[in-house]
Amino acid sequence: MSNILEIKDLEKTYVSDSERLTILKNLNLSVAEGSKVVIVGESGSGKSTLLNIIGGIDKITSGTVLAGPDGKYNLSKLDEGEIAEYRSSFLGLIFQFHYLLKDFTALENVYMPAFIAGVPKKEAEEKAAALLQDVGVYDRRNHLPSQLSGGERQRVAVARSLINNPSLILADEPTGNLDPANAQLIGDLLFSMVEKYNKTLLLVTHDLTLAKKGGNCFKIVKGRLESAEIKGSGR
Amino acid sequence: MTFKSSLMFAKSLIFPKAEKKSSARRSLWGALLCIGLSIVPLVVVLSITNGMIQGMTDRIIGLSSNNIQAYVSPKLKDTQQAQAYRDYAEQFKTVDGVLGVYPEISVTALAAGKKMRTGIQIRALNKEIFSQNKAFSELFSIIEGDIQSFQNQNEETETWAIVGQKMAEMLELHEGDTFRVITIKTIDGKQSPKLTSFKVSAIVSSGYQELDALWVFIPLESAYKFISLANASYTVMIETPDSYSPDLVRIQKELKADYGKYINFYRWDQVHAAEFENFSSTKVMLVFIMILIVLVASINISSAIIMLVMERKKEIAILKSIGATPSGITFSFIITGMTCGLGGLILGLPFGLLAAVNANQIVQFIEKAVNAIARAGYVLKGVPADEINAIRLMDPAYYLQTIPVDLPFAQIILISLSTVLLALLVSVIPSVKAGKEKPLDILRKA
Repeated sequence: MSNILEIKDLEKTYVSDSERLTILKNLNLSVAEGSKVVIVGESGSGKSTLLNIIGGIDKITSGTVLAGPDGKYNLSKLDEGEIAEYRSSFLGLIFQFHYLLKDFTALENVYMPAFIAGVPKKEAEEKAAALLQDVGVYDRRNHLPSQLSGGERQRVAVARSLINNPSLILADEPTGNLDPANAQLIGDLLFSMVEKYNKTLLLVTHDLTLAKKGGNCFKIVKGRLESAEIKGSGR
Repeated sequence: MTFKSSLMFAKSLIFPKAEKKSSARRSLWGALLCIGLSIVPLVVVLSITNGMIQGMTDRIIGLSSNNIQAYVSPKLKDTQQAQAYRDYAEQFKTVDGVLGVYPEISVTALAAGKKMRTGIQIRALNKEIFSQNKAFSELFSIIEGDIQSFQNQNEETETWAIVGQKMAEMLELHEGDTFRVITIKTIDGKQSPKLTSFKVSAIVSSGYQELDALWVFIPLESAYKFISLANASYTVMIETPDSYSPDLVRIQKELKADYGKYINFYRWDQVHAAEFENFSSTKVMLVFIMILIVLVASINISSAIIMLVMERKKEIAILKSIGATPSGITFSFIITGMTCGLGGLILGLPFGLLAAVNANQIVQFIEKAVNAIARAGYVLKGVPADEINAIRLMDPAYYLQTIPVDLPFAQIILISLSTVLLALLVSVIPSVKAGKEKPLDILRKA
């Protein structure tokens, strides 16, 4: 299987007035298409930073991040418009917080990425309705995020990440803000949806139970990725 | 980001479903209200100044000079006798486009009424001018008396005159009253006054007091018989189909070519150049001030959009994380700003038009209210009620007695387009800033 993501010698340094803080150093990672990669690590180790870089949200200090078939997207060279296109067509993002648009209904939140990408509204709505059916909140499709429970919001977020048929799903602590029961449900749902739609998943989590569901597992140690074996269970 | 998705986001900015209590949204509605309020006086001022200028122009052209005015040399022998003068003027009708000719002798004089005297302009014209000339018959209204005695008089024995309303008020004249006119005659190089008595046949008003305060109309024959013409000027008002037609220049040129030896021909815009320049500059100044008000109101839109961007940073970041482009986000905020401008326009325009159409009633109402308050204040201070002068908001000494309203639809369309364009311009900077928001900082802080 070909690689969908190739990271080479990635370095990320934050420079403030008084100090330079290197979060990621000489980090290398290859993610094969269809794989489910899990990254774990201590708080502040740089897991979310890595995901933000891959999501085009944060900038690279040095190194290369190539995403897409044949490294179509070189993240250090994309301008704002290209990054938008990259996020729209290649990525599905799930955050720890649901990050749904508060004035849009569940259905609108799910179809919005497709609508932004130019899919006709009716088609986008149908697709969104099917995804909401898949994640089990179809009945709540006309409710605003404020009218949904935490678990339901995260289900909507999972559905939204899949609407544009992305190649890669980036999930940053998707269960981090949920109670254990809901975390278990959302974790299972995430993996089942990724499996169903045959997507590549890059998951960052503290939750070892969730991490165990993935395939390759890595741990960030001193800014570098090391292979890790998940032992035990629980969060 | 597609146009439709930008519209959808803009709609959620203006009509949010979740949080109704938003200070940015309140500012947005406030800006809309300000635009609406600023549009009202702009439309009213435009409509009134247009009507006022049109009304004054019509009166000045129609009653004072007509479309072309001929200045005849007093040395011309045809000016020495009324019928000869009339016949001479009739020749101008041979020029294509000349509809009517009205010979006139104009003399500056002093009029003495019951208690006071005032400077006047005697206008000696054909007796039939009040019924024959379109402008005279339409623009003069008879306040007192009738024009029959004026038109049917025997100029050999009778001296009927028609006077302007304002002058009649100043000289305390009424129908049938006699007043004296003093002109200057020169005998052997010595100047002496010549007194003539005239009887008031009718008191007329053109609605423009500046004109009504000056004019006394007498028949052409009476001028030759009863007053001194030592300082008289001889003119002919020449009526043509349209005051604003380019054909006027052609008629003027032909008249000059045929009769230019003893006569100068001037178009109305040349005769009254100073007045019209004054009208135009006043209108430009007023409209400029009103546009400044709209401009200041538009700046509120900019402030509201700045607040909206600050309030909606999270939504901007979320949209960017799902593929929205900076230009798409910018466009959403620009649409919001323009909608605000358009909303203000939709709110203000009907009120402006309504106020313009009812300008006379509104001014009267305000005048009554101001006078009632002022009267109450003076009475409380102990000033006797009969000593209190009424306050006139629009003194007819300077304006027309009734405000003529002329809705300038082309200019209103221009205002509407300019307001929306202005709303767009003031929204650009905060909207571009919204498009440049970095999602990372916002999502981290959220």
